Amino acid sequence: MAGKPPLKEAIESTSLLIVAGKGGVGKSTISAAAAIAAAGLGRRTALVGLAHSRPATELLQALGEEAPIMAAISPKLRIFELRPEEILIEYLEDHGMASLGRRLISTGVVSVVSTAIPGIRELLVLAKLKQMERSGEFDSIILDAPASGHLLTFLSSPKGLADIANVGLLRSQADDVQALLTDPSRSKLVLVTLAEETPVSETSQTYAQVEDQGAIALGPVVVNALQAPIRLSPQARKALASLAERDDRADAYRFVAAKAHLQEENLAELRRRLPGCRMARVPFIFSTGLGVEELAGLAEHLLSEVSDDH
Amino acid sequence: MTIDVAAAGPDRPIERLGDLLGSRKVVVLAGPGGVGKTSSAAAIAVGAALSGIRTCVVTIDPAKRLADALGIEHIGNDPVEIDAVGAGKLWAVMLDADATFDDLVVRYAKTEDQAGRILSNRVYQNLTRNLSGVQEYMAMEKLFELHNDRRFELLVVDTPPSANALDFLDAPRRLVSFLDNRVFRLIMSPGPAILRPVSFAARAVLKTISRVVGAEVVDEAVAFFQDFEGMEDGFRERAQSVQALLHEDATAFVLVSAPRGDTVTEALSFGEKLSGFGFAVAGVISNRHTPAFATGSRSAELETELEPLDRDELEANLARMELLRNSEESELIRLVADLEPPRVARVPLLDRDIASIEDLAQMARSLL
Repeated sequence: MAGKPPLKEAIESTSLLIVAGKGGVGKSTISAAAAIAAAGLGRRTALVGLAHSRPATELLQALGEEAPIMAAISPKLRIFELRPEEILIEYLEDHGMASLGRRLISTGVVSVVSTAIPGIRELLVLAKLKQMERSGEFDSIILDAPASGHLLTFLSSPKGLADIANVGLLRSQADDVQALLTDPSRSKLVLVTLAEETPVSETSQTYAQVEDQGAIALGPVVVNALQAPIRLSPQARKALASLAERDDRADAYRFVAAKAHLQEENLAELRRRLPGCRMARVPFIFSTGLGVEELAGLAEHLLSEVSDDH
Repeated sequence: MTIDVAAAGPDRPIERLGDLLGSRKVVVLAGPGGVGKTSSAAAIAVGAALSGIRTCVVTIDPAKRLADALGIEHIGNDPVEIDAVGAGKLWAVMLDADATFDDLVVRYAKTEDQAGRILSNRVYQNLTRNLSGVQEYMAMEKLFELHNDRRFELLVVDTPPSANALDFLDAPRRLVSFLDNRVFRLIMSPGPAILRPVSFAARAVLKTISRVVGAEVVDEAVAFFQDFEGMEDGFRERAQSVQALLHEDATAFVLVSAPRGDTVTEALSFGEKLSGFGFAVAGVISNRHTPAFATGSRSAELETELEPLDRDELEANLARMELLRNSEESELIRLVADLEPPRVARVPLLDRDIASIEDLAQMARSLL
């Protein structure tokens, strides 16, 4: 089925997209590009980073630039950085416990409590996202989530907390967040990966674990930084291998072809391990710095790329 | 001091990273995620072992093929000796951070009962995962233990990837201050644990917290702090010993990076943090450089062997690689100009994944 571009479909059908992946795969870049894409579709968009995994400063600066390309997008796009401690204080104030909030800060107990109570930091962030989603101020919320090693802890926090806290305000928050995460029209997980060995195996593992636990509905997997494929005939490949020893240019060709071949193998492995999963392919950007032009280009790509799933 | 990286040539570092190995006992690799820290650590260790140094590499969560290459099958805290490294001796250990923390609890607990209660407490289980930097700190803790092991002359340590990857430097302090928190001290007046009266003021705070999080959670937290009482001293002393080891002259910090804009920015902030903690960056590894090819004119043979279409595709790809290589050069210069490390190793991208000791040895040659 060659359907709608997978990420466009996810943006249009879901209010909260949680973008996650192993360190170094370009998770923050894809989050920023997805947010630009959503805003470009006319959706009121929030790009949310966490204090521990906030979108790279460069990206934030890039988004803040007054580039002409952003003129239509900027009014629709807001950027947030969430800190669990601040959310807790705000939450207590909203529930008529301002004095407790102040007391908790002055004794330094906030950080102790938020460290000691299982899942509370994660829950606070998720509860805030739920509040943003319910406020009606945004059509799309894009979260640049914690690195995938911590992702399951993050997603399972409301359930874990609900298991041990039978009563209390947090319990009802946990239930609300659980309802958000288990409704595919409200939230989906977007995993970002590279066509390299370690990211492919980590992504497949995370995907399977999230699926097993039913933690959240799975959206498309974004395969980032793909180089154009080179499909040499076996005969040409053989010729390059034998010439490489004495011909520098042949050696260079051989390297390029071997890299491209490795990428194809890793992509095939990803497909094999995630059958039926929709994939959005994102091209490698031949630039070491990412400015607003590059991000806007990526956003456009995410909106137009037609899936090649079978 | 100005370092002209460009003049140093593609694979010729300013001063060789390999020089570190003879004079240091511990090499700690730190850097952003996804730059190849684990394979660099493994390659340095293989290189050191090949030059006859008895080496142990401490890894965290290596890729499967890398673990296979090293011949380690299971996570566990006992170093495994690896065969087939020429004349040298090499051990590897795949760290289990949770088990390391558990070991510490068992060591400092006064009774088996106390240890058992702590290990089964959900607040404790959460602490090991969620207190920022604890996993990283446990890597350092393991390091301290291995440092006292006579079998090894050199330890190469890979630090785990995390958003705040230098948290391990601050983690001992944070852990001790967490355990020392005065609000919880208030709760625990002297007396037998079960009968301990909780002070009135503390009760009021706890009661309000209970309204928010539920009473069971608070009970479990209080139980944890009560059980942990008396163990802080052990933890504090241990943390100080680990800090002292890291500050020894025989310990070197090597920053691993890759020549991409965001990665270099992250690596630079690592460097800043390291010096903030009083550590000098002994060397920089810039990984995954697009290799430079001496591309003379195409030989007649090559012309006849390739279809024009294939040739054009390869040419276009080479041209893009050349562009990329230029921007990588400027990123490396940006990194080195700011950090001014005494040693820089530029490691080319391999055209395959690391799958054997030979691959690691090859990487070691460009590293060291």
